[in-house]
Amino acid sequence: MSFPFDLGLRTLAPIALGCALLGGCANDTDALLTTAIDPSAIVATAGVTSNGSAATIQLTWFAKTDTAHALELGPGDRLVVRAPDAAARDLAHVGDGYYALLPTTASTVTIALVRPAGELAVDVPLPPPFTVTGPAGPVPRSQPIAIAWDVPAPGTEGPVELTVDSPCFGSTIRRTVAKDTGAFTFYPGDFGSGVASCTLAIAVTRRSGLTVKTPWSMSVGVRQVRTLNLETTP
Amino acid sequence: MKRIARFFWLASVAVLPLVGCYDETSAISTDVSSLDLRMGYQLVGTSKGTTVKGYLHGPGADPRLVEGDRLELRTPIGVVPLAVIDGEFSLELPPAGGDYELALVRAPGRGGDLSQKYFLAPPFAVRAPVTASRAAALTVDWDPAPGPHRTQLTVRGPCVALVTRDLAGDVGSYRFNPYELSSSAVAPGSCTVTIGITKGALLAGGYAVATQSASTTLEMTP
Repeated sequence: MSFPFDLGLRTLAPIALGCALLGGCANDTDALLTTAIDPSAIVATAGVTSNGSAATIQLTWFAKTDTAHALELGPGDRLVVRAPDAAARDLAHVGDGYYALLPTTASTVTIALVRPAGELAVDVPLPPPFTVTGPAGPVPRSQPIAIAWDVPAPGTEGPVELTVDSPCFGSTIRRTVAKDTGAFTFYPGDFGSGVASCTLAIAVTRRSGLTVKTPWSMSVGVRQVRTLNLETTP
Repeated sequence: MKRIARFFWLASVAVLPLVGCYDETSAISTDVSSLDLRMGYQLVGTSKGTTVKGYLHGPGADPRLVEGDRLELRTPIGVVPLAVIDGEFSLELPPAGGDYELALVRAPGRGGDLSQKYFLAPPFAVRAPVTASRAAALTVDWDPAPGPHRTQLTVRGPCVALVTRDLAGDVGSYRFNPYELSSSAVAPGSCTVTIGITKGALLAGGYAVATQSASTTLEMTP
């Protein structure tokens, strides 16, 4: 009986050691508090998505000192988001991330770590807002379907992503144009055939990004999304 | 050591008769049940011709077809007898679309005929302008055909985003929006672009068994 035990121990010991070393990279058991570190040690990744009337904000972060540590808000510190037309809201801590929904039509949101001694704020500009328009439904999918949205100002024509979801299709249809012209046309080859009438959810997304180093390091992916629901027939 | 030697001796005595069950030199089709045969083939068609490649394998050595057993390919332009060499066969046929059927025909009265039927879309041509700009819409046309096949459009070139698009049917035309072929990850200048259409029957898992392809090239500019 002793041989299998020894074998198991010899086999498992390196694995356990490896796991312990890897686990040390971001270990909740030695999480640091925001009040205990310099803000320059904060490394955050955030996503901000606006649909024109509200913005969702999600953020994850860690503390980078001699090694990486999980990070938690210290006593008296708050993590908030606000906009020129919306009062500050605390981000809710759920699982490994922080989340908030902010009703706003503003073109900038501010993510801030509010401390008793002051706040550390990052302004996040959103891509230009727009409105999507399409034909009055129902429209046949056997004919081109043209949609349009507000043309961006010259010099700000970034890439645009379009997705189409529908119970008609097994998977999401994805299209990308490298330069925003404010228009896109879907053609019959894009859509499945042989299905009865159904609604297409066409989402148009303008993306941008922001990376800051002060007052804390943060990379933000920013999206301006509009969705057009379009009744279609085969 | 004696025990080990005895074990190997017993093992060899037990295995040798089993090895004798498969005599590779006498693998003839009349010794093999149709249930133990595996066959398959692939059709690759273009406007120049149709390439057929396939196999007929037995449980041990690949069987020689004897005593009336034969393998043939029934095509839209006639029946072609197939010569199986080392379990495989290949041939070139004139271009033709339609139903193809690989058939193993056993000797009369023996029973156990096997067949596999695929539909090959008819040959076609792809048409596109001689030159096109990535900043403008691009229309690609081809000859559509009815059938159960799937249609895939590909665009390849060093100055365009790689596009592989599964179309919702053999619609005969597709149009790219302005800047849809642009990408910051590709060369910015002009280049030769190949536009291909493949119409194919697929097995479960996406393996193409009968494809009819055509392509054209154009000069793509910014």
